[in-house]
Amino acid sequence: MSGWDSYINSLTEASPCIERAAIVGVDGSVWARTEGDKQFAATEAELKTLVTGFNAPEKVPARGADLEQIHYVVPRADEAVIFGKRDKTGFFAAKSQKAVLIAIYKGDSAEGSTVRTAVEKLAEYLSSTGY
Amino acid sequence: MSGGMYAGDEVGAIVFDAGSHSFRCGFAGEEFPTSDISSSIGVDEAVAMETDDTSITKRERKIYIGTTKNIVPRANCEIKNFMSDGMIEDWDLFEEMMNYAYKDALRTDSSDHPALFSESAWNDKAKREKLTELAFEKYNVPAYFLVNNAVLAAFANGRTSGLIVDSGATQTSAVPVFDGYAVKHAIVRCPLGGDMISEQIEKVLTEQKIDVVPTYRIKAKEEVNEGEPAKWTEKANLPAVTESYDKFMRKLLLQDMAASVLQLCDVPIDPESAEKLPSSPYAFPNGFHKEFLGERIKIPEGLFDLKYLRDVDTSSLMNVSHLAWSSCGMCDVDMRPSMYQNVLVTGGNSLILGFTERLSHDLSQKCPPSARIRLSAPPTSMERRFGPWIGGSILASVGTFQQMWISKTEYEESGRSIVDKKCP
Repeated sequence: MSGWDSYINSLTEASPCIERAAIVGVDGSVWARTEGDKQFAATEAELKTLVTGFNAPEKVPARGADLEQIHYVVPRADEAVIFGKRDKTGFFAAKSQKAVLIAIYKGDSAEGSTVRTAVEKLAEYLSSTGY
Repeated sequence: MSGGMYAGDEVGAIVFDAGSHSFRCGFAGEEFPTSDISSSIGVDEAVAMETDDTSITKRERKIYIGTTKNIVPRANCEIKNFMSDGMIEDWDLFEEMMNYAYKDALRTDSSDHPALFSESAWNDKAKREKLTELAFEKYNVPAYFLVNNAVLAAFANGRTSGLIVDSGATQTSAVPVFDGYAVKHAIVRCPLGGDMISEQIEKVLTEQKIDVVPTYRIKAKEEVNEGEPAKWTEKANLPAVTESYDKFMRKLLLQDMAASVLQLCDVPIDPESAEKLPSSPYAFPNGFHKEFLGERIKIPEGLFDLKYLRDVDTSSLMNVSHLAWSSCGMCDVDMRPSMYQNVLVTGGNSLILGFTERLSHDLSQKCPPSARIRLSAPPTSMERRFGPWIGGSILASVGTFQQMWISKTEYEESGRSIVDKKCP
């Protein structure tokens, strides 16, 4: 659905630190993702684990999260946002009603907060339109 | 500068660190807080009757802040604390403290400086938002930020990750911090702290039939030999002080005794060797003095071995090393090595002689032998008591932090829930 791709573009434009992004349904299926050399390469199994993590956010930090075969430590997780970190990179996953937006970024906490606001805003907008 | 960003390099920020024992405040960039104000505030709720036709009762509240004022015996003056359980409970009293801080301690206008506040790692959302609202609405600060005090303690020691063991007045907690973020779900805490130690000392003294007489009641005393009953005269014309005041003054005395006499053994103690340790004398304000032997080891032992706590229901408590170990256990396996290698001890209660050695020993016993444990603790008492404040001072002066402040415009646009978004 090309409609979702435009959301991906708005995400990557919102913050230059976002390297790869995707919109994933709550069943783990990919609705849209960044393509080409910046392809969002998380496997279906990884996405499923991440998405189900939102149902039990307290357990997520105990084991961290894996995306694209890279293990991220999760210092923060609640029903709306899961935040993972690894050295200089990290990811934010924000949940809307039927989907999860994931953005992998490179940078420190200052860049992190811009990425977080962008991802959360988009998730809120999607929720408001019923998705 | 894009709308809403605050360029804070010219004006110094003010750092506030509120604790149950004292409230620290000062300017960022300085080494130590300007003021360390006691959190025990004297409140006089004098109810004056107006003899009108309508006979209105007018309530006038007088507040006495600071150790020079709150130790003076006054009639009807209760000693109250605005903190409870490590979080701000009594907001009116907290406001009085803030007013005092700005007016008398810092002598500056609140709207001139950005304000950085510390919060406990288990602070709840409603309280954070309330504090944000208070700062912007009442004090008109130009910029504001809220940081976890465990994260600040880590910064004060030059680290961004580690397991912070904070032993303070009311609580001891173990908070894992990873890369500047506190891992909230792995926080373990229990109400064992300086106050519990003071209570234990009181129990021991009562058992030994030693009278704890606070200083304000003593008019004169005579010198007596060790162990003999004290000879002292009570002050006449004392105002009718409240029970909370008397309790507070007794606690001051107990805290002084704890600081001078208590020691922790660096291995779990066995009762016989406890009695053979060098004794330490303590002279009470009423002239009575005594050498303390086994008790000085047994009382703080309660922190590490719950069996030594008297008259306390220990079913819901855990000892300090257990706290640290379980907190680490709840973390991601990848995080654990960096936690064990960076255990940081902070908090006023950790100044008990032998605390860090004992914690180090107990932890190495509990953890798998392959884990390398490195404990560090700032050496001076100032750094331990003011750890979070110092971290805040460092953070607020760092260049990259300046773009992270929540500015007044941002608050006005988004409302108080912005604190949840911008302050993790």
